[in-house]
Amino acid sequence: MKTKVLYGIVVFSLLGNLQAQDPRDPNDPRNQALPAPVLPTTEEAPEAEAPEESQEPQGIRGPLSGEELMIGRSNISGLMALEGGAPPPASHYQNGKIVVGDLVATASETGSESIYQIELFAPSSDETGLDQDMYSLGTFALTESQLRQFIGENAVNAMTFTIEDVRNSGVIADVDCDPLGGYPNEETYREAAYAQAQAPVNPPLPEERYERGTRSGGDPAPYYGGGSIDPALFATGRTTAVGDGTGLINRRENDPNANRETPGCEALGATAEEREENPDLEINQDNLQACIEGIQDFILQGVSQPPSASDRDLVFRRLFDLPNHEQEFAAAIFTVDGEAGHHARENPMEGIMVLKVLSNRRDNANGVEDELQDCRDRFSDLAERSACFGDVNENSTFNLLDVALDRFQFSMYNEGEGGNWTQKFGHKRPGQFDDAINSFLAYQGVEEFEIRGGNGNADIHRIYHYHTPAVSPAWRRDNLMLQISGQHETLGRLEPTDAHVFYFNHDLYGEASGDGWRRNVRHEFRDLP
Amino acid sequence: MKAQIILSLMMILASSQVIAANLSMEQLKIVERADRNFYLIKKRDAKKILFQKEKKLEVIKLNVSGASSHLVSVEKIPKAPGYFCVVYFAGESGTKVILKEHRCALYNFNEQRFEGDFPWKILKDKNPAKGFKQPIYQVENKQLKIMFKGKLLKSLRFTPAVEKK
Repeated sequence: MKTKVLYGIVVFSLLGNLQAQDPRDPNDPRNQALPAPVLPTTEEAPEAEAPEESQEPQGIRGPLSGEELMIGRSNISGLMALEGGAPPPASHYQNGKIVVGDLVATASETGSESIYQIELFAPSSDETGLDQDMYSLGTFALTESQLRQFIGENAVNAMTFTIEDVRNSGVIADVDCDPLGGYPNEETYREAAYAQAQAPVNPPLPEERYERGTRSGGDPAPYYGGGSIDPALFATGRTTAVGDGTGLINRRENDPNANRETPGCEALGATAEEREENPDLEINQDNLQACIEGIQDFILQGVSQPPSASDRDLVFRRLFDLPNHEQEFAAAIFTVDGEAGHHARENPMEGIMVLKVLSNRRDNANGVEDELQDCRDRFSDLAERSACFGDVNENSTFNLLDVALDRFQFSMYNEGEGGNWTQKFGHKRPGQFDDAINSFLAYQGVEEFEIRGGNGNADIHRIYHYHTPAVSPAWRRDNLMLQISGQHETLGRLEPTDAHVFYFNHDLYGEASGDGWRRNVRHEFRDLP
Repeated sequence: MKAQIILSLMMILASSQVIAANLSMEQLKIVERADRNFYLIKKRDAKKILFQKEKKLEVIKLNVSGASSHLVSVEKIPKAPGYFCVVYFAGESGTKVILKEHRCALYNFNEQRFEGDFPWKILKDKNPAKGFKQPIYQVENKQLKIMFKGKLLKSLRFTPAVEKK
């Protein structure tokens, strides 16, 4: 028995030494061929502590942040895909580069070492085979030790190559290798190399589509899974504000659905010049009523009334077959009707504010709020302001409908609890949209918004949240609730809202700081090519 | 003698597999950075178990709507040994009905990496929200499939590890 225990102990201790070297473990001394080089730093950056919960988190720079490192033929050990899944194979990024970003986590947060965010670039090559600009494979993560190990290996490779150069200078060697990597000819080799370079690293998930949320004026976030989005995927192009010039509803140039105008929407789609020539195209209650009923007919064709839950996808997708301005008009009318309902009749400001939140969220998702504000500040004439809006919106990708149908945001569109869309626009009733259309027509004529509550710093163009007083989302803050009233050019005094409570620039850490709430809008129902 | 050594080795390997397939809340932490992104960190194991080396650090970016997120639980995926869902709070939305979204950062213990971020539950208060299709995590034919609203979000093959009963 004692012998057996002794043998067990011997086996145990042997295992400690004989266990296979883990190539993924940078702390294993057997993996560290060379000590990491000491990078020049002017001073040791103090390690930042993780911010307290109530503080707004800042970007945390580490000693290696900002470094640009050429990859050469190295493999990057320990690369982590921030979206999950396997990292790209080395063949995708070799001869590319790494740009080291901020820290994802500090050593105190991980309990061991820092984690860096890196952007990985792969070389692109044109048909001549010459390396041109690099393209981004997306953002990834590396621990500090792995990053330093990579740096160390790269330095060794560079040194080895240089030494080899010296050794081989003046020597002609017979090299027996296949420069085409096994391909039968140069053409097929280049085609394969080009295809490999262009291949997406992480194919997009079918349900989670393109998400974009950027700061105003910033670059668009990469397509889900890495790479950059082609703006031609959406109906981009200069916009023209429909009717009132407020930019609430926009016609788009190069609209792929431009030839699908809904019968009854001629007035909505008319230009200012066409309206001048033909007064029947005036934007008024009757014409808008005809338009929204025409849209209802289109989206509900072949669907029972009221629709069943299983019709939701079909009906919502059909909305995106409309021209852009009809999509936005439908979103505006349906949302006011479903969210404000009879409150809009009792107090026009209730309907107007639902439209304002919808519009603000769209501009926020497109990252153009600052530029639009600049248009408002520079131009008091509506036509000039509209032209300014059009330039700003040229590359925007979300419209009112994308925002309205964004999952869970506006309860009326829910597939389950809270969703009353089937009783609302899924069900044709005479005069059902009168109040919503009145809110739409009144939208332009608001001369002044008066905001009461909050911290006193609310900006009407950055009110993104509202809820009914009866519910308590995690972001409910009684001391930040806003009530909106105002003055209208024809309606006179607009009473304060009370069917909903509104918030300025909300759902940020701690108090609303005005720094910028940002929403990523998903294209759940818009068909992407 | 040789048989005893081999048997000891086999027992150690088998038991190490059982002990290794574990993930606890203590190893996990959500951090928020200035780019408005939340990240889930899986720390290294605090202790070395038998001859298992400390597991490496892992990180995944989370899909959080709103100002805050927190860990909810760690769920083993039934019949998919080595797969864990790190369930986290991803935000609350709505105007008349407030819905809470719980999401899953799927961790693959055998591959030592996160496989992605997927919807887990749509809740009203603390219960599954009525009338909403919930995500489905299904294991069949050695494949873990994550489906939502009839669409396949992810399919992962796995080799079942030896599991202690």
